[in-house]
Amino acid sequence: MERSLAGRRRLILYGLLTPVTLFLGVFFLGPLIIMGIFSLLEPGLYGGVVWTFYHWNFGRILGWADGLIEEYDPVYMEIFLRSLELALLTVVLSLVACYPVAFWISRLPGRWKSFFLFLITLPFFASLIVRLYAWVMILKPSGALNQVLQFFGLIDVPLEIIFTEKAVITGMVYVMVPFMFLPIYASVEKLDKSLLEASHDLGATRTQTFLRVILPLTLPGIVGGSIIVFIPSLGNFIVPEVLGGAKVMMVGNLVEQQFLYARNWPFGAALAMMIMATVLLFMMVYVTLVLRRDDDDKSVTV
Amino acid sequence: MTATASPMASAAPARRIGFLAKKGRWGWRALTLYGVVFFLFIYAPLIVIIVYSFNANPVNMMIWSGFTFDWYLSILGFSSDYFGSYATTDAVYVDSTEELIAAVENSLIVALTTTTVSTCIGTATAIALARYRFRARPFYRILMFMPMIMPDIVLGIGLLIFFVTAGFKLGLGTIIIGHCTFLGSYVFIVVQARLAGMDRSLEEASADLGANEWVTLRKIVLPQLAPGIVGGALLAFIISMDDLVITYFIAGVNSTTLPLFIFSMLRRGVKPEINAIATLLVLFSLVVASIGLYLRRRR
Amino acid sequence: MTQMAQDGALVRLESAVKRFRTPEGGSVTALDHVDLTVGQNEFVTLLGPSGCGKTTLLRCVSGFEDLDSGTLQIAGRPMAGVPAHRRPVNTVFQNYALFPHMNVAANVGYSLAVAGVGREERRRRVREALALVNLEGLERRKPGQLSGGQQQRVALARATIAKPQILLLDEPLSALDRKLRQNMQLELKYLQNELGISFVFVTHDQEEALTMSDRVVVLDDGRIQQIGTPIEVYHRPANVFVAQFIGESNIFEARVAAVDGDEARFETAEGLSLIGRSDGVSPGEELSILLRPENFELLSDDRELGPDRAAMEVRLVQEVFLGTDYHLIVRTRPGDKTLKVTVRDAHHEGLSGIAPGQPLRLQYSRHRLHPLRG
Repeated sequence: MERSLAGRRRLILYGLLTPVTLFLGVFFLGPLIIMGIFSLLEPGLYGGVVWTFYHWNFGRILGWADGLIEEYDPVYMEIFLRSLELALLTVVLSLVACYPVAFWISRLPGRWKSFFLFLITLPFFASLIVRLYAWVMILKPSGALNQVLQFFGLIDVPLEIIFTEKAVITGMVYVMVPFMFLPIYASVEKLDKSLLEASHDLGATRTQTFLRVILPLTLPGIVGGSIIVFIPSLGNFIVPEVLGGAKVMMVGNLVEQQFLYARNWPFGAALAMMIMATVLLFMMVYVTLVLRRDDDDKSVTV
Repeated sequence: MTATASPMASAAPARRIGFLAKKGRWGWRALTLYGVVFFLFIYAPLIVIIVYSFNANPVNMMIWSGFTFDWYLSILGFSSDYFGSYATTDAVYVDSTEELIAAVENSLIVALTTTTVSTCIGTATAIALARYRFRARPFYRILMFMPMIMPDIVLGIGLLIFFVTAGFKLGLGTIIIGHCTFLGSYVFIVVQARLAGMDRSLEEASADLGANEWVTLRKIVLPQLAPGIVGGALLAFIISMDDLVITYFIAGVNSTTLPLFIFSMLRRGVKPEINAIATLLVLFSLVVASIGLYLRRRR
Repeated sequence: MTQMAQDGALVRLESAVKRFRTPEGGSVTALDHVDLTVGQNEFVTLLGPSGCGKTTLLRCVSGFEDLDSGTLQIAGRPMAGVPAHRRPVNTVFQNYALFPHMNVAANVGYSLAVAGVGREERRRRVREALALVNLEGLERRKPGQLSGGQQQRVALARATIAKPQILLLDEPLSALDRKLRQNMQLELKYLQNELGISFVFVTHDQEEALTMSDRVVVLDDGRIQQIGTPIEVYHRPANVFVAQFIGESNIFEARVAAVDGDEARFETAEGLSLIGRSDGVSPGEELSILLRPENFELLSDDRELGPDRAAMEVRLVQEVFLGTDYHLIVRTRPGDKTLKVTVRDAHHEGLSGIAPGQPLRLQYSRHRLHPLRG
């Protein structure tokens, strides 16, 4: 019997891939599948589930629940759309915040550049919850911000910023900035400075150069960063909870409620499915628009 | 910080070519100012915490009333009477430092185990996808990519439903499993990047000289991959230590991790010790991060 | 040296076929039914342009590629399904492939370490191997601290330390500058003799092939064009490709007009009449004729046609003086076919006073005129 080299390679390949296949298959795909199943199950009376097909969870959110079994409440869709808005707003704000800094750092002379790069990535490693908590300390009525403003006589009465949407947005942007910065910076670094010179040489104004040369060339970084920021922003519940209290409700908070308090797991699962669907939609758009992979192939056919 | 603007501006004006050179100095100065403000924005919260962790005011921790180490001592287990300090029983609620230490222990156990497992899985998968061409390869790429684009909350509740339905008992084990599902992907990305730049002829040379696949892996591939593997492992460790959302859903009653502990403290009501804990945590993270970035620089 | 022991062949490749899939989705045949044998203590060169399959052939022998069909035997053992690390061949790679995280000694001794040889003996043998390539004393250096030539020798030492029967070399000299290259060619030849192992050497440089080889295997497009000694492939190329790939050439399209024993007369497409060896051609046959530039000599008016020579009338287009030689570009009369001619300086008196456009008389050796098929 002839054992070919290909057969040997196949064996090794299976050996390498089995762990991840098993692990992700069971513990990643499994949960996603069962969550999908749960979203279509009937919630039991005291928590738990009844294993019957039940599309009314989605009906409550999307509108076809007519009151017989479940009642349609537009508030869910409102919250969902509001979360979408907030997530997109976060993307835009963090983009606008990071873009000039990326340019600034990429123009710095060598040692300063490494130093500031180091500085900007460092806070990322400090615990998220800690950094959020710090904003509570800053934004609350007796907090640092109000103290400073009052000290300089700019206001008489403390500003009620905490527990508003403004606070939540500030927190979200703050948390997402490191994620937005790195892809943008990578794009900006790759920018060939001589292209800008050429553009000027050919008579373009600064604005035109920006719109026609810089923006298109840094687009991959912009899109990449936007995706990386959008996805965690949409389903976030920590930031709204810490900085928004009970007053700012995002879809993530809704989900958490359903699971930990209302004990309506199917409904929570349905909400989570909506989040996931939105994310997958954006990813598909990204893939079709941007992804053109060059496979630098150093591999062997098995 | 404006002092730094001058040496830079005078050092090599010719460096700011093209786009900004036309704007001249003012454009550069505006940009620098923005950069500085940006960094202040980034670091302000951390500075606030660190500063106020030394605030002696036990009641309203935002009003400065003196410098003290009391909060640190308190969380480290020293009784406040011992030092005759500002701390009163009202202000102290980490009366069992054991809670805090248990949380830290749990976090470390989870993080170390997760790092080990996910590094192995991620590395093995990276090698498989980089060195072998097979029909299912694009699917595996997508599979490895998916955990990173899934929102935490979706993964968290998915795992919760899965564990409960399958009869798992929620505890450190489930937390570890949960972390590994997405951290393997992070390691994969880092190792794969390193692998792509590796010279394949080295592995061929090793085989040519008589080494089978296992020996080649040990003697040639892994030593070359080491910086990537270490980088991936460090990343996995940090993310695991800091994970809140997924852990929140799948931790059992007795398996609190540090981020969960702080989160619950926040919900119960903010007390001065929080600042001290937070500062220590920040310091710890910064040390780990610095080590990591330093190691990166050396290669 | 040129004993081709067919029965004791070290490498026997029969009807080897290897195909690759292209990124566009098609397939390219890198090896198209290739037969090759390599004997003991032989220096064989695989010669051909980029993409001809020579590297693929090497990789199939060393075990990095699988044959799609055909058989391969090394030292009598069939190699089907045998992975690279179990084949009795070693390879010197084009980029040397030295392990950057190990020093020279660890690199050179790698095959011994893998085979379980003890440290003391390893050290001794590494020293010997390094001495053989003139690199004593560099054990502790890392590859990054060596020059190109030194790296190359480390690669050689590493591949030969275990005394394999066959050494495969994949364009090992292509990264070196000209002077170094020429030195290394001599050193390689010397090494091959010293070690007594067979070298299979891949190159696209025909000069290199002619200098070093016992036998040359010319490849193009996945097929063997000719196998022979350097003299054979140079003076008796099997087809137009080999004739043009090795050395300078002038090729005529011609038909056999008449055959007279050993010699034949050929009528070229330009209307020239050439006389040369018949080599078994039949009248009426259509083929190509090869005359190399150095096969010509100047025939001054006052001289007689040499023995075994034939004459040709040409017009000078351009002359280039290169020290030892004159390179002439001429056009035939009749026919206006452009030819390259090389004459030695000794004949220059025939050229003095000649300007472009003026007629010349050349003579060529009838023995050197070579009919080509294919």
